[in-house]
Amino acid sequence: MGKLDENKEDVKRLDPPAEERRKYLKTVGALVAGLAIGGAAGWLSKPAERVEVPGVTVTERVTETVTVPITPTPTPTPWKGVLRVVAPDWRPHRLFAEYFNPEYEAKTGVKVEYDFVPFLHLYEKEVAELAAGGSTYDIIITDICWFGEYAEAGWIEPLKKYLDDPKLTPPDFDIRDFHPPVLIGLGCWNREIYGMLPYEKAVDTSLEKGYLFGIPADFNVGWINYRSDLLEDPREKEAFEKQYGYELVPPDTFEQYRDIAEFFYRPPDLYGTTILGVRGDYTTQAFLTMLYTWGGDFFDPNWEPIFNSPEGVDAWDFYCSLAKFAPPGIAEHGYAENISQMCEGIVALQFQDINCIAEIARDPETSKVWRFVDAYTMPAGPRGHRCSHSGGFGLAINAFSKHKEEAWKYLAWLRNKPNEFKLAMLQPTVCRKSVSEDPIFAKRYRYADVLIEGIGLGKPEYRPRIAQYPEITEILAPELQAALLGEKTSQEALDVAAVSIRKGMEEAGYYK
Amino acid sequence: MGIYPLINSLYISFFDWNIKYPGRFNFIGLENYLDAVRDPIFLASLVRSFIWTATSVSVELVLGLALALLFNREFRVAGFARVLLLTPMIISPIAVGISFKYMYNEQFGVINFIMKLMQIPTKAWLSDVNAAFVACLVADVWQWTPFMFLILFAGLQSLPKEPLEAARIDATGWQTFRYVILPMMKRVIMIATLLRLIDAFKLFDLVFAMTHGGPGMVTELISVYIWRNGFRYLRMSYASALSYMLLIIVTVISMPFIRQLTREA
Repeated sequence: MGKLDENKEDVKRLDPPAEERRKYLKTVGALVAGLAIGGAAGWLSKPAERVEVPGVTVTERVTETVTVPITPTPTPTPWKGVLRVVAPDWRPHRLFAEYFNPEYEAKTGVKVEYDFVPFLHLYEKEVAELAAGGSTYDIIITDICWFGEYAEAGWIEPLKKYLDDPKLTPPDFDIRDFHPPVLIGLGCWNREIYGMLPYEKAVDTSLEKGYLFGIPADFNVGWINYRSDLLEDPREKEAFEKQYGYELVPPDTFEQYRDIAEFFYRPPDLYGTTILGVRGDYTTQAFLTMLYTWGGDFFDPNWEPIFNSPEGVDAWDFYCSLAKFAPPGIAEHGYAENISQMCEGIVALQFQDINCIAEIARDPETSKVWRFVDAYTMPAGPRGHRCSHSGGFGLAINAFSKHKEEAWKYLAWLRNKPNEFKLAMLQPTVCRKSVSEDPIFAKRYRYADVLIEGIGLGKPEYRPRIAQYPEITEILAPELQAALLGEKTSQEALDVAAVSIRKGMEEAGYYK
Repeated sequence: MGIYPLINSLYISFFDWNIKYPGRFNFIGLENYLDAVRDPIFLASLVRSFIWTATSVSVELVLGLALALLFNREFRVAGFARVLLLTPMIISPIAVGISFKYMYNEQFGVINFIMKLMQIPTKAWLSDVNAAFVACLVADVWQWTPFMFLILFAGLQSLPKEPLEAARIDATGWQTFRYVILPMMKRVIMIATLLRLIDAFKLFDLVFAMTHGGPGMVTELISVYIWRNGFRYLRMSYASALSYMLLIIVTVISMPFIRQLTREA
């Protein structure tokens, strides 16, 4: 062969043979076709059937038309800019953004944009902005337990001058219409009013001395959810009474709660209770509810941690004893997991449901057992104490905002009485007395009386609202989880946490 | 751009700055570093990080080398398979962490679903203090074995062919690997190990997404503890001091590798 022919042979060897290419394309084509068929089959497959409980009478839903009060026109403003709000990704705040903001924009020309952040990451987001003196956000929606920190650091604006200015605040705004413990927890801060009773005195002091830093956005109270189809079933009642010697009814005490949880523990289809066990503030909240229900307290009058008292240890031991009746994987269970377990119909009792997520279990779109989820007030502890979760969020103005007056006008409009009424019809949250006392509110929610009672059972310092609370919960939550998982005893876990928390309080200058 | 944060964080590590107390910024010298050495949580998380690094890097090295040897030959769709193999590496570690978190879910996770089909008792992987650490390691190995594979495969491809052809004449496959390939690959293996070691020691996002350092403290690695001090306790000075301790430790561990590589060069 000549040199040219030799080159042609080399070129032929470099080109992939046509035969090989066809086989390769066939293989890839078969793979793609298989994926397409599998995907289509998945898309066409039927969703899971709803659980139907035989032999139970279903009450039809009744729809009633409610006349909603007309929202007053907001305070006029020549400014037509954009207000930015950082908010937790909770339903009430989504309602502010989706339902109320368009009306505000239509009436004032001021656009309000919400930046939603998952709750477990909200603190870092807010602190990063505020500590740097940032003015990205005009309004900060802050958790009840962060108020102290933000106020003491000078990160949020005192509101007295805006509240007292008739040009900025409509005369019917009526700040005293907010339930006193709600206003204190979600709006007022100073060490002087910490633990002050009665609550009305704390409100007066705060309004006089300028301790108001926020307006309540939504107040959370806790109760228990229970499956009425299970607890009212005659066969279950008979079996329960035979086993425990008393009637099966919603629990008045935690001992009864445990009995019911144990009775309905029938894995893998049904579990007795949910548990909050995730490594975060949710588990601390569960501990605090138990601590106060057992008659304990977090700090003594000199700010010494006393939550590792015998009451605290017994309380957490009791909670840990409930864990065996819960669905497995408790270290991953927060509020979202708990409510979805109730919606799936796999738990009989739910500890510490809170109002802002309560409707999820009662909504036919999201719950398989929506007809059978009823509420009952929090059970009593061994010494007769009851405690409801007290939480929620307040709307505060960023001290570094360039539009503070505009921010206040928006808040004063958003949280006026008519808008509070509307919000209460959309979502079971109520901060104002005039709304909670309205008979329509009681008609709207069949557990309205439990909700109102919960406001009374809670307290603003349910989570110590001092500047150190974020650190406190970061120290406490992993220890509580370790005890829950059997890695430590409750005493060991709480003692370790108490030492670390005391060190933090000392650094902060609480012991002089 | 990188110099200023580096110097500033070193500077603040000698103070008592806590973001919660804006007016407080006092010089305290080496107090933060001494506190770190006396901090039982820091020391425990350091031990965990050592165990994590040693285990993950070893497993990834062995698997990466095995895959590199397997792919060091031409077969149909080899190119396509190599690209597929590298995919885990290009996914964000946070996305990998979240995906594995849901795969490990006790009730609806795919791993337990498959175990149920095979009649194997299921597990609450991320809630079990004995299983969570291993579960996170598996996710890390899944993601970073392709990185080892990439470097080792490149190394194998660059080996001279003559010694291998000579060895094949009268040596077994294992003997060829043990006495020919491995010594020639020594530098590449050291480079791959060093790079992974540095990365594994300061791992944060994967573990944070999966367990936040829990259950209890079993997956609280050093980086998670530093984050907690800086962004939850807001003790910026202390967190900076811990970061520099981590830097010193990683540098000390890396020195033997770098010295050996420089010597051989």
